Amino acid sequence: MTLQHVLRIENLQANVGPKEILRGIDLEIKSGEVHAIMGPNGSGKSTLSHVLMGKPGYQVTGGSVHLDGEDILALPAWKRAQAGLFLVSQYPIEVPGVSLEDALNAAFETGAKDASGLHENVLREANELGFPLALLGRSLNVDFSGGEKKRNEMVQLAVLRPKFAVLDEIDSGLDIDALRDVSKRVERATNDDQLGVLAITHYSRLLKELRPDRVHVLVRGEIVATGGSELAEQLEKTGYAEYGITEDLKEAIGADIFGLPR
Amino acid sequence: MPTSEIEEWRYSSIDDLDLAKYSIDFDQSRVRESDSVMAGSVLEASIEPLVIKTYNGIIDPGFEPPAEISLRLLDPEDIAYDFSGADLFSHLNALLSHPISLSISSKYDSARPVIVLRYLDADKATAVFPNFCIKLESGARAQVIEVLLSPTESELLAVPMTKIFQEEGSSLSYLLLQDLGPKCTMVGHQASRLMANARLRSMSIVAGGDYARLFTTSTIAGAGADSSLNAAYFGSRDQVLDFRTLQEHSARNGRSELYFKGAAANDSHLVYSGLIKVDKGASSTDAFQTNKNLVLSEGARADSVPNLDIQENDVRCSHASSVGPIDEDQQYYLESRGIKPDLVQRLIVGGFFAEMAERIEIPGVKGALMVLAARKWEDLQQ
Repeated sequence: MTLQHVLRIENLQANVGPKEILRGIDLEIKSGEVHAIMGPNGSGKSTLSHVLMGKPGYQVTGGSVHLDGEDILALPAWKRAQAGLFLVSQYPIEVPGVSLEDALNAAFETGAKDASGLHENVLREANELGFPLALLGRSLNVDFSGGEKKRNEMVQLAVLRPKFAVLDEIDSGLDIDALRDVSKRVERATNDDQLGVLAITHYSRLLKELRPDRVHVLVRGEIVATGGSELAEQLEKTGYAEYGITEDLKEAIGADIFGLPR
Repeated sequence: MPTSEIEEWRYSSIDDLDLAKYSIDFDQSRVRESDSVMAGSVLEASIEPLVIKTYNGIIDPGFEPPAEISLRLLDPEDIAYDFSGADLFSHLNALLSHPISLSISSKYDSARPVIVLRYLDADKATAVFPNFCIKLESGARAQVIEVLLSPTESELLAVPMTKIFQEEGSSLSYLLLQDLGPKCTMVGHQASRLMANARLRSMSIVAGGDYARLFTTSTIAGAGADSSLNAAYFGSRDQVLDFRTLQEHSARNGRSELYFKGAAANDSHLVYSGLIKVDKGASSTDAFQTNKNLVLSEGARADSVPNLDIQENDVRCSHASSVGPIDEDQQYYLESRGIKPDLVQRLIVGGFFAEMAERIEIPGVKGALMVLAARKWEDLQQ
């Protein structure tokens, strides 16, 4: 019996420098649910993920985020993570001299959790996710390929077992096999651990693998539409034109396929 | 007496040094053998080392060297080369020290490290002058570890000198561990002179002292010689750790590579000033110099001044230096995994030094560097 957890975002507003990026976001995610946020370039998708995790440089100007009733915006990033939030970074950072297990051990130590089975757990998850075992002792993300970086992020997620995961453009830079492996592991976490997921993406390709319960469309810092998976399919056909965005979605998809940063 | 007004002593703590305070005492009978976790880890990891103990610079009279090593208590002429970077302190050392000279032949079992434990100690402010000359005979291979130790409460001015002379085709892995007590001021020199095709891999790990200065000179004196000079150091409290280096190329086809890395915590101050000097005629020279500094607190600072003096056209030379805090993106990335900030800092600094541990060639002693980092963290917690 798993407890039901709730991540509640209410009227969230945030700036980067003087610029208003998020203009009142409302979202509620429960354990086991998969929500997708789709939006064109510059709509505030990545800002949302960083504001949720607490990256320095983003100013929250209004609203709130509660995890099981706790105001997480008042917490530094490491306490948000300890409270059960995990961000799969779009661009995982290289950390020379620090291995995956060094980092996971330190996370367990911070949370005063028993790390005795950690090594076996890491090996099992790396195997399942197709993360090369030879890279386990190496510096985090240093000289990893795009796919290895994302698989590495997923090993961390699988071992840390958060309550909620934000997947920031997890499909960027991934080939179709890697995308499938990663999506499968996310799906299993939603079933086995009742992980709640907020998948941020530009492109519906990910959503064919992940099959979200809810799809939200983010335009200019606001959620302008919410629906089921049919909304993603419709967006793929029509683009964001009906929301007043004339961007050529096909072009954006092209950029995504080749994993180019936008 | 030099002052910080002159370039070689800029940023140093030389103006605070009162030479008159120190007496000179050649009685080694009162010297205690201080403990050192770092030295202990090295001794434990070494397989059947040849251990030589010295007390305030004077060798244990009971020491009997094996046949492949000749040991002399007087400075032999063949090692007494002049080196650039000589100063008042190296002259004092030459006048006042009891030099120990090791001459290692090609018959010596190179798998057996030579560990020189230098215990320094005095019950009043005392200046000590350890002087150690290592000669590798033609074709000899050796691993030498030199450890400088003093008890916490001893007030010392340590003026150590290490001179390395490598004949043709010899190969030396050298490790210095400096774990002196906090009331110790060190003004030290290490000089090496490499003849044709000689190879040196040197690492200096500097942990202790109040003001600790080390002047490293390496001269490529024969064609094809290859010198790698490395140092790792971690300042805490109000330590000043001061490194001066000179890579001197006077023969062709030589290679020298320098990599010095330091971290500064609390109110500590790191200094690096180095020069690559390539003489006319030293063609086909490769010479590289890198100094990296991590500054971990508001009160800490690091100065880094790399320099080149190239008199020859046919050379490949580079120098690089950096001074900065922990990378914000790395910090945020690890914190976002649920790691508290002081552990994140510890991980990143450990990672910063892990690269240096890989550059220690002597088997089993890579861990000494991590012992240093761990001990410093304990220091910072207090």
